[in-house]
Amino acid sequence: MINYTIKRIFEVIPVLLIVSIIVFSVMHLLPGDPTLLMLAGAEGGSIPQERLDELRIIMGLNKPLYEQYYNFVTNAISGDLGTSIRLRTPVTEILLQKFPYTIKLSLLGLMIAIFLGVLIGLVAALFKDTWLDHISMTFSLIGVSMPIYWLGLLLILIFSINLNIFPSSGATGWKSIVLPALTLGFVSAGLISRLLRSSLLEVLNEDYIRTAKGKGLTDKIILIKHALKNAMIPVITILGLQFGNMLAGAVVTETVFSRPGLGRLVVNGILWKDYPLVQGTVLFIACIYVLVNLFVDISYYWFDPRIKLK
Amino acid sequence: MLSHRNKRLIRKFTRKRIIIYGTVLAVLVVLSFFAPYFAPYDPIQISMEGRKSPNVDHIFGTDRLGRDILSRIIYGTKYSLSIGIISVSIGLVFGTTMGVLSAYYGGLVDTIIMRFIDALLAFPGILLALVVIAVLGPGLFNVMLAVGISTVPEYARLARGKVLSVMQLEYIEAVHSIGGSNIRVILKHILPNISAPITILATLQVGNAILVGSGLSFLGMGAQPPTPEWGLMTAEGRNFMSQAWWISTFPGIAILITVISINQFGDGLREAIDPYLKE
Amino acid sequence: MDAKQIIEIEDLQVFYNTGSNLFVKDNNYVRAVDKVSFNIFEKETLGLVGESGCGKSTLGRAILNLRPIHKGSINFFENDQMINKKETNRLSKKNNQIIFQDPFSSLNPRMSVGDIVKEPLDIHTKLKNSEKISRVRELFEMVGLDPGFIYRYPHEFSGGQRQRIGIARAIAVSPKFIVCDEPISALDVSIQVQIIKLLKKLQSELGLTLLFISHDLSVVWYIADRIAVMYLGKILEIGSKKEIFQNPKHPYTKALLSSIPLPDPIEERKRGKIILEGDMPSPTNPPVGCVFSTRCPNYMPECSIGEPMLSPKNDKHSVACHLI
Repeated sequence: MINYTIKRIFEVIPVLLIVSIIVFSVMHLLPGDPTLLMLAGAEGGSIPQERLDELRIIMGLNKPLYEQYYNFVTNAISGDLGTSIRLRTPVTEILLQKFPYTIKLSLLGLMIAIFLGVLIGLVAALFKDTWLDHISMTFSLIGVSMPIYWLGLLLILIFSINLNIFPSSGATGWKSIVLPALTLGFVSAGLISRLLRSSLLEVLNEDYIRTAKGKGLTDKIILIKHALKNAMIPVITILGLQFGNMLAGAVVTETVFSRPGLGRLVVNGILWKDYPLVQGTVLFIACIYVLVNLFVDISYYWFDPRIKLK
Repeated sequence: MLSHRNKRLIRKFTRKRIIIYGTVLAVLVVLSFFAPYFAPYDPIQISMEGRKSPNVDHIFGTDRLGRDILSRIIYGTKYSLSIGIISVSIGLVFGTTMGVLSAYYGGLVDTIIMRFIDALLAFPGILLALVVIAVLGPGLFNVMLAVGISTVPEYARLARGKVLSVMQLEYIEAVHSIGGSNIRVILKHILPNISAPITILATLQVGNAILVGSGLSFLGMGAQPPTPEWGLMTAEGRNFMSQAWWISTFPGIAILITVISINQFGDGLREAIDPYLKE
Repeated sequence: MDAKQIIEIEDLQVFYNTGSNLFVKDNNYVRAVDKVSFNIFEKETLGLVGESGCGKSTLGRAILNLRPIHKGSINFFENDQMINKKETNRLSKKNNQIIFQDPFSSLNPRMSVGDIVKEPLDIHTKLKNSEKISRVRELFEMVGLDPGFIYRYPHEFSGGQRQRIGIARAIAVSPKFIVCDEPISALDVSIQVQIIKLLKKLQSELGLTLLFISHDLSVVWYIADRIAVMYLGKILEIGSKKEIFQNPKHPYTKALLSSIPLPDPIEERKRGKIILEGDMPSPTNPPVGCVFSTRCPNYMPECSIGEPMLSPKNDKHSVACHLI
């Protein structure tokens, strides 16, 4: 058990390293002179060459690439992710301020996704081939086929503009998180419900279940509970992946609902050409995702004895 | 004349799902090539009258610059379909190549490629595409490249797994024993035997590529105005949801219908090709 | 036997490394072939027998350069002249072929059987396509298949027919030497006879030299001229068919021979069967001294000290045992 944990942690390190290389390259693969971009953004007009050179030295852009990369990594580990050009604040500060919003949204979205997904999938499987099944599966089909941003806008249209129940933007009060979380969760729910339905059908078909089907209602409920537990295994397996989908979906959702958060930072950062911000945020998100997956893998290993034997 | 196997195939292809959604897709393809013949108005023609709600002249209404939404949607078909097909093709080619090389040569090559793939997977969904856009800048083609790159890991992993199992089979060793070169083994013996699952993955990916690609355009990273791309159109109507809901709603419906059709068509195809394939 | 030798194997060792990768070095070797030396003569059929896991398949493939050699040498000769390494590599694939055991995984399911048999011609000859196709038809006839089948796919054929296709592929470029790796073990018994007869016929028609690998001594009896007995990576006894069957010297050979059922049930009951105890040890951890020492009914303490070498050092009948 400990061995597995250590092994997985060791495997994660080269991955994070490569991630950092990729993120580092973003800033350095850009066409154009980053110093020019930075100063042009901040001060406007034509800038004397000496100022550019001065800034180069301050930013360390005159050093060889590997040295810059080394500084980047060591700084990052110690918590220094540079300073945002546009916002004039250290990136780390910005991230620490904004990331709770995204995490809250993602977790709530995930809960909605699981709740909705399991419910729909369960109903569909139990009432297989009836109109309930068909409606449920249509629901999930629409869920995985529709653009998230459009769903967000639709929800705004219905619940904010016409019904005025929930706000369409901002992050104040619990009401503001409902629509964004629903948007995020709906797509994932579609996926989960399909998966649960086929998984549950498989489990329910097994012989030992069929022989038990002749029994009374309470027994049936116990049966369903048991089958559900087994059927949930593939769903739990993809939980880490679904969390990643939440993070990805947050990018668009936060924009649609004008909510502060990491996703919004990335999008704005790119539009403002604020590369330290983009770099730091992307690195942060990737690291979170990798660590969450690592955690999910290790705890899954703990719970499922079959994996232990592999 | 026709072998027993082919007769069965033809029977399966006439199943309901394939026909219905295949027709929808065919219509979309026709629209993308022959938009001018079907669109009632010029998609970028600005009108001083500004936005109008759906009426007899403009079935889907007009946007804030007075452009007919229906026409814009029709002209926009080709962008969405292209995003889907080209992105997936890019991902397929690069991803499969990486997976095949990784599995075939093994050792250090395998380790390096797979760690790189793991790193790509550390960027959830649209984030990887965003990183690519950050480097390349906005634009429709860049979106295709970005989305394509974000699909590479899935192909690489699938190809690698399938190649590894194919390599266990003796006919691969047979080619070596008769003196076949590595290239011959890969091209004539490995690739044909992994093409089925790869193709299936591709059909699953097209719809998703369209969603991500139009999402990037929605964020302003893709097609630029006045291109009538569906994601961009949705974004343009965003600030007018209370006054002019139709500007954003209809392009979204178009995307929804397209992706559903692709997914269902793909499902139907897969069932016809391999009914024993378990998900 | 004054025939010329065409392959000389000296102190061949083929080891597999188990489970080591970049980060973890594993010192467990599988000693698949452990210091094996023998010769193969022109136009003979050398039978290589042993139980599963003794290394005979690995040995066959190593001769064809399909397995990396750890130590030792495999030399090829033509007209008593040794062919040098470079020439060997070039000619080897053309002159030396293999027939596989499993008819189901040895043919590419996505290629027509005609193309499968044509492939060696594509690689080694510069014939025109029409010439290649007529050669393929010719080969089909030689192995007893209807040339009209060349456009069909492997799954349309039975196991026996697929083996014929595999044989056609192996003889396509007129090789001199073919490794037959248990070519009939996966077939029904009635088909086994047909295929063995086909191999024998082709051998005499085409002047082939065969290394016939099998775990079944009765099959080997039919087709082989000489027989080598292998166990845990070593050759324990080698000699002419007559010698081995009528005058087996090694205890293991005797045990193997006693397990061949006699057709007459009375005779069968009369003779004493030698039943070996235990299982073959793991090739990663062979016994010290004679590899057979852990199961030998004639075991004596000196068997665990020092490995017995094959003697006398001729190819008529040699045996590796301390007690002889």
